[in-house]
Amino acid sequence: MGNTINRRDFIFRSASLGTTIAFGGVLERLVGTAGYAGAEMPDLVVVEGANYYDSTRRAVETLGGMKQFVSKGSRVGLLVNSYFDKPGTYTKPQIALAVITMCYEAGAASITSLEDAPRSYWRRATLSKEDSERIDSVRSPGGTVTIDLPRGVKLKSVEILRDLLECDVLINMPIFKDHEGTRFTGVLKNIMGTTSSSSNRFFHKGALVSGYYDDPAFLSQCIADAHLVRKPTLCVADGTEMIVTNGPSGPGKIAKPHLVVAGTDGVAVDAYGATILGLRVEDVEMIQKAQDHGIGSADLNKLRITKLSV
Amino acid sequence: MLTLALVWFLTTAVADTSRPAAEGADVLASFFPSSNEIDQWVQSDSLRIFEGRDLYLLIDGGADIYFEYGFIRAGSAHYGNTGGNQLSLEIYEMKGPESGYGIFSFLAAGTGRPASFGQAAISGEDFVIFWKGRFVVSVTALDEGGRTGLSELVRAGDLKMKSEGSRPILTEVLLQPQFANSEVVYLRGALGFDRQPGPGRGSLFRFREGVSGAFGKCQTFVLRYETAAERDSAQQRVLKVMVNQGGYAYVSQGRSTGLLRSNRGAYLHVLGSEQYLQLVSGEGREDVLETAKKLRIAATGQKRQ
Repeated sequence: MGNTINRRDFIFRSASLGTTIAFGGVLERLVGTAGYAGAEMPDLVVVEGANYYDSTRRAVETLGGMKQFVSKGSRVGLLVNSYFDKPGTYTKPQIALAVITMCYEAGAASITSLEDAPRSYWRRATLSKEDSERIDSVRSPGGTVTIDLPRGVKLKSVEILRDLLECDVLINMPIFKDHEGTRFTGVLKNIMGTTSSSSNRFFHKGALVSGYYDDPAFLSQCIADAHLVRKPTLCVADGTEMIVTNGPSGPGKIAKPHLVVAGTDGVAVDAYGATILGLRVEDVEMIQKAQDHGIGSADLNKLRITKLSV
Repeated sequence: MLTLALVWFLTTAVADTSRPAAEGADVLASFFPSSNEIDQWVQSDSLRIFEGRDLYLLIDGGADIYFEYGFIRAGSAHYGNTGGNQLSLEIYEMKGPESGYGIFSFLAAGTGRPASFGQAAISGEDFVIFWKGRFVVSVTALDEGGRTGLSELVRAGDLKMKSEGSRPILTEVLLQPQFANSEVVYLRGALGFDRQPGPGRGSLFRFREGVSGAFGKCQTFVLRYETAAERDSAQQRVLKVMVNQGGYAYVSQGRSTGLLRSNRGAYLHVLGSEQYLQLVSGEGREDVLETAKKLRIAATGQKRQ
């Protein structure tokens, strides 16, 4: 990833997120707001069903529909966990495909796959001609920018995809699964699909006591700090089939709750996702640390959660 | 307690100290079946070898546990059939049989059912993982159709690997009949330690090696240090942090032993002797104390044998 913008080229401060952004004209999008204001709208929608495409559509519709988030002409950044190929380690392509379809139906002008899902990823789903055309139209991400994070506890700057900042709508699409260090991955951990390899190495090296990363607290704090850059507009998480041991790469024991979870608060989505893996919110440090930053709420007792079956 | 320490000292002193042979990527590559060796399955991409830190390129975000156990190199290849189904074969070469067993025991815990490959193996619906000497092998069906070729690919890889090795001696403490049905995990650092149910805070313990297993309703740990002084220092450090910052309080306290209770109601029994630290954690006070007692008896019995 190249094309790094020199931070002196742009000076932009976001007081609400405590972020010095080396990029111009994007504050309104970066502050991140829910796409609806309805008092009765749920905070989280959890849909159970064997047809993951249909579950995804139902989840977003129950949140108010994709038009609540994607307006005509929007540039959408889609962050799909697509790196690994073993069962239970990647967001099901049917779920991603449902979101892509809904984005275009809502009038999206373009969609960028921020993790640049390879062609082999899409081959894991049965695709119609129209599906293939939609996927062909999805763009690859461009270069990176470096952003200062004055409010970052451990991470004071991060090199991150320019498209993450430039897109009008950021849709985070993780799979909930086990992780060797943080115990859990979801919306929050997925941000590492947009940060540069040098930034990720810093996340992982921690205090460098052992010469490799063995400091989950440091990694968790870096992940929470990185989310000061931008909140997602929408999160659609894969809780259908996931590894509950040997994450993130597997192979591991697979659980099949057949759930799709959607919401606008990534911390809340992860808090719910952790429980799917049998964890308590307090077992996952990055959720706590992200909440401490004010990025979202992990208090499941205070969230409006709608559960459906399709 | 001195007996326990002696047992561990003696058994550790005679532990297998073999080191990985100076064999390189060619040896690792030779374990991968060629395209004509497995009926209906051919290697569908080039074999990739990852040396040292390059492991991050294979398992970005998941390599660190391998480094903790002592990683040398890994090979990865895919196999496909005419139906478009895919299998993934990965072979990890570790620093020695103890490292190989260690990462295998970590991966196997809670993951699958025992299987008959290599020196120890587990399998699930879509995968087989086995340990043989300093190597750990994982074969994964990447789709439902891939399951048909799973066993054949595992067998082919197993047959090519001739060298075997011994489990770490320390694991024998928890592999005795009294601890039947417990999954024993060999530990080399904080990442492995923190993934076991128990007190966490693995980075504080800084042990040389350890072993952990479930026993009834409790989780047991036996950690080895280089010297008694090193163990004592670690014990004091850990207990201080647990009491001052970790929400633990002493229920009882002796010279080298203590029973603590966390603010969540869990008990932790700590016993230090010579260079060994024994931990037993669980929800019930009597369960924890009884397990701590049995763990000492088990170690004593091991010496008698």
